[in-house]
Amino acid sequence: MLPLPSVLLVDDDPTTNFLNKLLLTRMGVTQQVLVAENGEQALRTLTQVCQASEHSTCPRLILLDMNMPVLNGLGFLEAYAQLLLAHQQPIVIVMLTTSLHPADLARAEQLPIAGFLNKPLTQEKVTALWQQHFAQQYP
Amino acid sequence: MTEQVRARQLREAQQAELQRLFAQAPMAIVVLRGPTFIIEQANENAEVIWGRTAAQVMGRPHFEAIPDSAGQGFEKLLTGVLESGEPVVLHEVPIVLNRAHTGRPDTGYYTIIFKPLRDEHQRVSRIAVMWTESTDQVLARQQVQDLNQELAAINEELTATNEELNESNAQLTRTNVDLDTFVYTASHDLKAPITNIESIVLALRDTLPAAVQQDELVAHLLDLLNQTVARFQITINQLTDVSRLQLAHTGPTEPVVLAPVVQDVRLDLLPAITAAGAQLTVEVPAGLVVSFSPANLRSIVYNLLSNALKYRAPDRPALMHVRAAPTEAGVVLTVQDNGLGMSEVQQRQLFGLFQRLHTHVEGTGVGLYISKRLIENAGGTIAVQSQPNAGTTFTVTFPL
Repeated sequence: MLPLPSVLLVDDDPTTNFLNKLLLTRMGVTQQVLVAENGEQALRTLTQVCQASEHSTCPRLILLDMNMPVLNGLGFLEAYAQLLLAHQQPIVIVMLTTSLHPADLARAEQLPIAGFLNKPLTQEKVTALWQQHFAQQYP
Repeated sequence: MTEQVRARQLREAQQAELQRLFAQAPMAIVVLRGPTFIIEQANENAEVIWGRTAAQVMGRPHFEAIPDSAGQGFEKLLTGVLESGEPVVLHEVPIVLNRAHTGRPDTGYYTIIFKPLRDEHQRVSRIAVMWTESTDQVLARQQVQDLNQELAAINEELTATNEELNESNAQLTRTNVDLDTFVYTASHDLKAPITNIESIVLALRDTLPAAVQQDELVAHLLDLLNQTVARFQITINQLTDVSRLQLAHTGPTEPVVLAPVVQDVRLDLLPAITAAGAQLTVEVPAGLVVSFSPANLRSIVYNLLSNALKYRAPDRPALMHVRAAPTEAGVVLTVQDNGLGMSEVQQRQLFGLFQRLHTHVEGTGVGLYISKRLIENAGGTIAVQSQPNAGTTFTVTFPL
């Protein structure tokens, strides 16, 4: 399994980000881990790294938390759907949350996401995720 | 006998007849003469009302013969009738007479007609007074009115109490909603750190050298940490379940055939039932339908049956009996066991949140609380009957 060029973690909890980054790095499933602490930071990061002429750091995967200050997961997804780059370079977005309120779930189904994962992120979940979404591109 | 004598006799007979009629008339009749109102005639009813015999009063001025009637305004009234020649009628006026010896109340109520009588010269020299007593009716009516007022006051009080209750109820509902929101928020906010702790344990296992992890104490501590995290997560998940009861409705009701639900739960519990050597009898009529959310119905049946199994008595084979039958009030489901049972105090605590009556088995004390809320939210009831060390019967009534 080849490592992805880049993954973006979006979560307002620094401990979660640290642990997930540690896990992904140790597993060697990505060359780079980008971190954003809310939806707005994540949008800024995407605009920076994906608009640049060199696209190598543009994440292929975003692990997105639901509840965040400033701009939460749903808000990010709505804004992301409006971004032009969404059409140019498909990014797999997976929601990584602690609990799902049925109402949130129903709303998220309308949005461009590839799936849901319950926290915590584990080796098993990462392996399954990579096999599901990147087995062909990065075998 | 001469004509004259016969005519006189006839006249006398007629006179006597009139006298008897006057005397026995069903109302009091008196005739008063002149400005001092001398009592000229008084019939039997007048004697009764006055509480005096005719002999005591006849030929005497009214207010002298019956002094207790004086000073109540009748002197002026009678004088007015004499002077004006106009009749006067009074309805149910109170008059006070000293007549305790007759057994009648002193204050009586009377309807009175004062009729001026004219003599052969058309002069008003006498007054006929006719009256009836309606004291009993008036008193009865007053009593009814008093009672009515009392009732109105009670009614007002009840309305006020009702309003207070409504307000308390609204307050409680708000508090309940706040509490549910709090529970949801708390469980959600607790999840983030416990999830991190779980990740930290995983990261530690990846980080610590194998030699260190194989150290007996380290391995034990890591195990304990894992168990603690797992236990914590179960509790948080159940807290979330409780809060979802309120936040996420109770699920739409639909007709559910009960027997397959019970059968399904039985199959789920079969390994545990077999392991415990328990015996489960099911008597649910095929085709018996209850109106409930299917998922909620299943979780209630599961909760009751797994409880019956969990709290079996260790010294005898566990017998569990599930019955269901339609009644007028709805479908009644009973789950009976011959297990540990409960005291009355325990039965009162049974449905509370986080109530755990036993510590020898796993549990977090939310199962029955959730079942009760689900049943009651759907308009049903759940009741328990139990005897310590004899067994317990839960009776659930599903609404029609």
